[in-house]
Amino acid sequence: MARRFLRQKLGSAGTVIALALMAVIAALPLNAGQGFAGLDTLAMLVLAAGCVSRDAASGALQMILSRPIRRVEYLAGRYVGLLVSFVLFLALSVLVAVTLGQIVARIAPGPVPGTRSAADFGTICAGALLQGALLAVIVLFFSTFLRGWGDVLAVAVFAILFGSLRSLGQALRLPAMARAGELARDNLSPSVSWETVLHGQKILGEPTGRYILALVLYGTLAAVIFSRREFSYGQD
Amino acid sequence: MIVIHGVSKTYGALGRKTKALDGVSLEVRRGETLGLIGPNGAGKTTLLSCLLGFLRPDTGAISIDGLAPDDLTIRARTGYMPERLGFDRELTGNAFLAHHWRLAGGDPAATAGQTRAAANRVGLDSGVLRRKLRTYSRGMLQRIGVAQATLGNPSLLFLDEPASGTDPLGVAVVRERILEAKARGATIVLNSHQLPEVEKVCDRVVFLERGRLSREETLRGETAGPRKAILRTLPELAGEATALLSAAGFAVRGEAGGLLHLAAARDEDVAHAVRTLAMADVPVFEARSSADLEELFRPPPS
Repeated sequence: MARRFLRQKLGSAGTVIALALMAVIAALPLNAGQGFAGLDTLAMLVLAAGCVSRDAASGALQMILSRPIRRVEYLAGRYVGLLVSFVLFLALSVLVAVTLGQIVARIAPGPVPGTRSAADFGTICAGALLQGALLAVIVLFFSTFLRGWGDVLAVAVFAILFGSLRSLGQALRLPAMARAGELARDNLSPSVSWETVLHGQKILGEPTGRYILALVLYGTLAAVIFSRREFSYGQD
Repeated sequence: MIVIHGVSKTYGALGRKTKALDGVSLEVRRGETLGLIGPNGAGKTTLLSCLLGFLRPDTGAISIDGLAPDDLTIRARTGYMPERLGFDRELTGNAFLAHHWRLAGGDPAATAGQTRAAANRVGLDSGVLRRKLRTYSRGMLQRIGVAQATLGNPSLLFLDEPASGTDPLGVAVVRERILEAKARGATIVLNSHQLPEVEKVCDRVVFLERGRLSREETLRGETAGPRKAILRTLPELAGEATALLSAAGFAVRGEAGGLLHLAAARDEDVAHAVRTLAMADVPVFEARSSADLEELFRPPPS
């Protein structure tokens, strides 16, 4: 299943070009020590968009589910494929960043900016992968019951909703609303300072716990919904 | 054996409910080929979806050899071809068949041999298999769909319009594959609008109408119902032939070109009619009989 996902994504010229472009753009903030500057999130959304719903809409899913495989196996395969393709994107970004850094160092006059170490890149990529893993499972969850690219749209809507609830609550001086927005964001879309955690600090902190809970919650919900879902095909 | 007992299925919610299946009960014997026919929207695809476990009946139950349709042991011996071919268009024909061979739990070492054999059986050569599916014509997609469904010789076959969009040669190839599976003892459920093909391969047909199983016709075996027969003689002798057959007790209707239609004829009746004409020196150039499946689509006289 994971192999099929990779074939689908890497077989699509549009996806490959979009990811390559993002990898080139990400090289600049990566070299400047600013991480992926949100491009990792964008890349994950591009990869994950319609990861289950498009298979269901095309009828390919029904053909697969007529075979002796469990629905959970299919979902797990999609998830693993998603993570592997994301790792490929991260690796490509680092490769482009290192190559560009070396070219700039050779041709640019004046003092050469310090190149980042392999450990730095490793930490940045590991953090991006861990955060991407959560985003992937959220998109996967929405993809089990929404159509088309509704999964990515739902992620965007929820992100905006959580953020705006908090800001709106503060602006309207409604602390309960602000608190609700904050709680929703922290629990349903938790963000962890991976650089700190990966350096061995606050590993068992509250954000890490929320992250693990969210990962398990979305994964379980996706599996339960997908196992119960009915699929029709064609027309009578 | 497939047992469908009182299955109902309704789509939609609140005020916009559509009853796709309404108390359907049916049994398909092991090794039997059953044709599902009926007008568009009759519930045939919904019934097939329930048989494959994609949909759950609201009421009633389905069992295949005593197990639920989505049981993995049932799926391990199921071949399925959907009407709408949801293929990964970027895959080559080879990769597509290999993927389904692996999904079916086939021996990885036998992948190349099995996929090549399945493709050969539907007339797709290795050159075609190397091409991506997006370059395939509709007929080629149907053929590779049939190859996919029959991979590993499954004992249960669910086919939804398998010959739709194929040329006459493709139709014959699909028919041969169905007959081959049938000879192997596979239980086949075929949903098709191509009535002549249904008649050629099915042992029995059931007619679905507005979600209900309204009629049933046995096409083969001792319980097979009467068929319509057409005899062809010289146009100038058609009148004489009609009179002879009427006198012999046949309900006969003459048509231009020397065609004689016999209603409700069994195989032995056709033989008797041919003999009657031959003994009166009326030549018979052609004699064929077929079940009048089209008749099932016509509303019963009120």
